[in-house]
Amino acid sequence: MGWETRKGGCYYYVKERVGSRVVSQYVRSLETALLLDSFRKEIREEREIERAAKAAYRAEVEALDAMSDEVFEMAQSLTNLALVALGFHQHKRSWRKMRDGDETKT
Amino acid sequence: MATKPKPKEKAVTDRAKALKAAIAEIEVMDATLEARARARKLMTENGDMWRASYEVADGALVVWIEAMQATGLTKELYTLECKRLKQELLTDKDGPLEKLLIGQVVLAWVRLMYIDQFYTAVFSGKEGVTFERGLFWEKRLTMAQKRFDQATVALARVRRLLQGSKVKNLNVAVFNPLPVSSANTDAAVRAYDRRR
Repeated sequence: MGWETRKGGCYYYVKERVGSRVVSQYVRSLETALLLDSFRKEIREEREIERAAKAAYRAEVEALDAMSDEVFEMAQSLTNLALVALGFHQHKRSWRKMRDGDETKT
Repeated sequence: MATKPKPKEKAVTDRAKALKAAIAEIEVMDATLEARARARKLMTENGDMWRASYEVADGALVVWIEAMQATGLTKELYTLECKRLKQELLTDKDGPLEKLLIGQVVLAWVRLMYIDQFYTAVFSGKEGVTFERGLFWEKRLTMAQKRFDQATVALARVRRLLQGSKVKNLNVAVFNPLPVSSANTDAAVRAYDRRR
């Protein structure tokens, strides 16, 4: 759909899918062509605004996720620090208590 | 599309990063005697570390609740529900570490609720859902669920460790807010051995 230059003139064509083929239809009246063109532009702008809003919303959710992940990682670090300070150590991802050099599984 | 984070979000993220960096700097994960001494020193010298971590977690919770596309009443209800959940999870024996982990459970719960709400709205909408959009929300929901599981398991694990139970494998520790008595612990060990 849009303005096309054919044989030295500028014409407005509307594209329509008919089955497996795309059919071009010439819009004879200039007024109708201009109206259709402005209408088409409006639709495109609306779609772009909608797409931008969705992208912005997704970015907001991703930023919130990133913030939460940062807080979780901080808590994880603090937990590990506290457990080490209390005399625990990690062996194959499980925590064990270390007593005077002797390992005791807890 | 990358957007500039909001001031509140940025403040929470920056404080969390600063705390994490301070802990990472002293490298305690090898748990040698020196590392244990370094860990104790850091915790003694930074008495406000716990307070700072609570503030970060509370700040994140406020940001999540405020970000909800809901009425003021719904937000207020979420705030009350978070308080109730915190009180429910808290026991008399809990120290600062458990309190921090309870905060994480509540934060993960709010995040899960928020994403679950949108997931339902997206998939039950009349206009349908594109593959890309569906995948985005599916991924978010899975991540939120995983974080919630991790937070509850971390709390259960720390409780088991600090109450000195004799469960052999803490990775299978089940969340149980009840105080662990020796009878319960022995029963848990027997049950675990039977499963193996």
